[in-house]
Amino acid sequence: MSSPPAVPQRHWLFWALSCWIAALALTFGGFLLGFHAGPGSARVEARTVQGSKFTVVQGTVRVDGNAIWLEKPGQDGTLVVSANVDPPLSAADYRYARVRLAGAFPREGLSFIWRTDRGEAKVPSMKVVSSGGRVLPLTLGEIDGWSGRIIGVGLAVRGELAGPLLVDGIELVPASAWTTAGRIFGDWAEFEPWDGGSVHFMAGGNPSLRHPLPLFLGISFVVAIGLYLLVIVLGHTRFEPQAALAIALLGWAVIDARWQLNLWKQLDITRWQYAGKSWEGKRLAAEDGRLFAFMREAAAKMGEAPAHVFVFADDEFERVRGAYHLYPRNVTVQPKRQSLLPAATFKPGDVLVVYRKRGVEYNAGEKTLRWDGSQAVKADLIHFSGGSAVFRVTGPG
Amino acid sequence: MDAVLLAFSVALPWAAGTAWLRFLPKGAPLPWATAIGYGHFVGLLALTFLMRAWSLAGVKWNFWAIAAVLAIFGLVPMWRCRDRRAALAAPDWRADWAGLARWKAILAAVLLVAVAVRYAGLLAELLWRPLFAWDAWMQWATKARVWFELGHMAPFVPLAEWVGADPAEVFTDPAPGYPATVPLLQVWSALALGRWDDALMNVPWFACGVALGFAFHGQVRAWGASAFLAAVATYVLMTVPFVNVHVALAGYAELHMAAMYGLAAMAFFLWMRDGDARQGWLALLLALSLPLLKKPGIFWLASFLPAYLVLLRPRAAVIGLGAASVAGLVALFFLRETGLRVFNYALTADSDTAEITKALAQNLFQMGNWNLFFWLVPAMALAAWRKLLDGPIAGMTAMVGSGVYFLAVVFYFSIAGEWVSDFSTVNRAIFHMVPLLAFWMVALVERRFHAPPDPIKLV
Repeated sequence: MSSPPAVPQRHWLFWALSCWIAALALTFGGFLLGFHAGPGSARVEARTVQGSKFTVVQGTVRVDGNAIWLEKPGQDGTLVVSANVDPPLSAADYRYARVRLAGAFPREGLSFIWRTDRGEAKVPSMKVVSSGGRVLPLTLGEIDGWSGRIIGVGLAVRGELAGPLLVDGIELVPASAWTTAGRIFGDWAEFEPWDGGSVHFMAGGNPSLRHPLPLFLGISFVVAIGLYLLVIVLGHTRFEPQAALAIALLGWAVIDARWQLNLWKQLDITRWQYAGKSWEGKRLAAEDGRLFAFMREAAAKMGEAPAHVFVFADDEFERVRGAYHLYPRNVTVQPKRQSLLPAATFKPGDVLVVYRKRGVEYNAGEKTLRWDGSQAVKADLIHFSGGSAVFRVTGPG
Repeated sequence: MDAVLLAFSVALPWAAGTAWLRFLPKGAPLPWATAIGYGHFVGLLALTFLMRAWSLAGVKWNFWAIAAVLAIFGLVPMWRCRDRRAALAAPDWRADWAGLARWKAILAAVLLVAVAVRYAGLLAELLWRPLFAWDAWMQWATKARVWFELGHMAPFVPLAEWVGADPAEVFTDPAPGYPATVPLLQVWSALALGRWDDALMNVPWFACGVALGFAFHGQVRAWGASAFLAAVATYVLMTVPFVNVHVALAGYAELHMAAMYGLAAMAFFLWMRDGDARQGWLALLLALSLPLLKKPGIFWLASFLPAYLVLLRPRAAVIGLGAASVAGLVALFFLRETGLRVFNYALTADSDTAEITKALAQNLFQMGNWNLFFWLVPAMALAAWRKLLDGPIAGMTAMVGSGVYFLAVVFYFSIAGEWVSDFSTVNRAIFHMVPLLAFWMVALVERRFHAPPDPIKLV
């Protein structure tokens, strides 16, 4: 009887790497097919609308060489600039827009706007997002109103600007498989800073979960194991658990490397913001530094005598965080309630901290605090700063 | 000076707890990795029990007085073992790695160095950044702030009760009923510093992360995994992004809950398999302490029962638990219409099943929370499906199953489903199971690829 053919002696690491790399290629191909829209290769060149070509529709601007400075909104609180696209371009040919900016990103919002030859009553727009100091490219789709022939593009800023914003231009990038691939890699590498949601979830890159890297590497892992089993079935090797372990670890290491780089970048920001400061210095340097400063003043003015302290603010974060800054005072806050509690709740000696709260009036002559039309208490004003105040209740209104 | 005081405040209870696990009067000591890892949690519990007793006795906390008691507590086991102290103090690292192939030793060392670098960065983040995460400052550190200032555990009550109470004595916050262990850890750090500092006070979270790594490594080795597999598994657990986030953005109870639940389970299964009384005592101590961390701790404590039943009477327990699960689901389908509250979670028939499932899938498989952890768990379960009810692993599978069942009930049958859809709770709830799942995967790897079935030795 003839003996079965010997199994070739390639090392298990060879098979692990080969299957993993093949799986990466296959999965990436699948990602491209799944996420790419438009022609495979670019039909047109990229187009750039330089900042100096923008004209102001509303607000105050200043042209500076090839760029434009956005300085001040108009009376209705918006600043709008636009430029003609000449010759008009076909929306289907262009997939991405890169807005090149420098300066403090507008806190209340910046939108990319455009006009088509259909002459819509409402100008279509798309929010421009900044993450980790980088303005993220916009993905333009028919669903957003990016269709037909584009005859003009522009930018709209809401609210006051912390400082003049320099717009170098808007680059329109044509649709192509190459651009989509670049976009995928860009999303994977995107920096994700700490925010209020980080303790609950991390996107792992692009916050809108476009082309998620764990999904890509998870599918690659499954495909790689499948390829490895196929290779075994075809008789090229036998199963060795370290090969499967290597396939798993390779994918893990890629995500881990990205995560480590993200952590280092975040650590650099944290170091810049807080390192070398005292605890109070850190609190003042934090995003809610002004709130902390006010609450510190409020606590000093309240005095040491124990009292029930109630904190009110229109914004939930300011309300609850403000209360935290007042501890160890005996403080309470209603996280989900914007309005003040009924007047009957308050007793003489209670302290009311009213931080950036609309709809509350204080009559200094009558020493009366009023809210919600009919609610009132007698109170002494013990601290006032920047539209926020602290009152000590002296009696019913 | 702050660095010295903080390091001392962390090291003292840690060393005291470790001493109790290493310096045993008779029998073999626990390996150093296990003793150091579990020692942190034993010391942490001893510290918080001591602080509670101090407060109950009406004596204001004094850092050095409490430290002195802790030091005595830690010296007791060392005094009891005075005849063999030197032998017990000897390190055992080399023996652990003896016989490893060179490439495995190098790779394992690289992975553990990567973990060390990771945690050095997390420590810096934690020390620089003041208390950041929402619930941490809304309902955990509020108690710490007041208790530190007053020097004892002043009561926190609901608003309705607070309004009529003495403002000098009784306090409130949005979660007055939350357990005291987590705030007490922050108070301890503040006592060491002699001032309130809501960045530096979070060092215990770094210590928890490090201790989890040591303990996990030690228990995986005790289970029978090679030093190489233990190093790889420790790297995987310690680099899970969500674990890292809860070290860096400290102040929640999730990290301690996950660590103590997982380590209690590991000790429990080692006790059930080997009859090792040391592991039994550790399992009992940590499991009973779970409700002292967070209220859901009572459910994690209850999950030991199905595991115990399956190990005691495998066939009958599997059938019985299966039937009870189905009956429970049927009952829930009726009860959810009633709005009944179970541990303050109202049952509801209005859960959007599709949205909840989508949110779960996104968080587990698509997003950056878990790396590939939840791709590997089902893959491992599938690869070793014949071993899921094999010997001592059956108990682990039962515990994992009961955890999944509990979470599924909470997500799909209660108002907590909303907090899954908005991503605010889903990962924190699942986090509690992660160290247990990591241990389960190692056990499955060992059983599938290396060992024949072991007989179960019940005590």
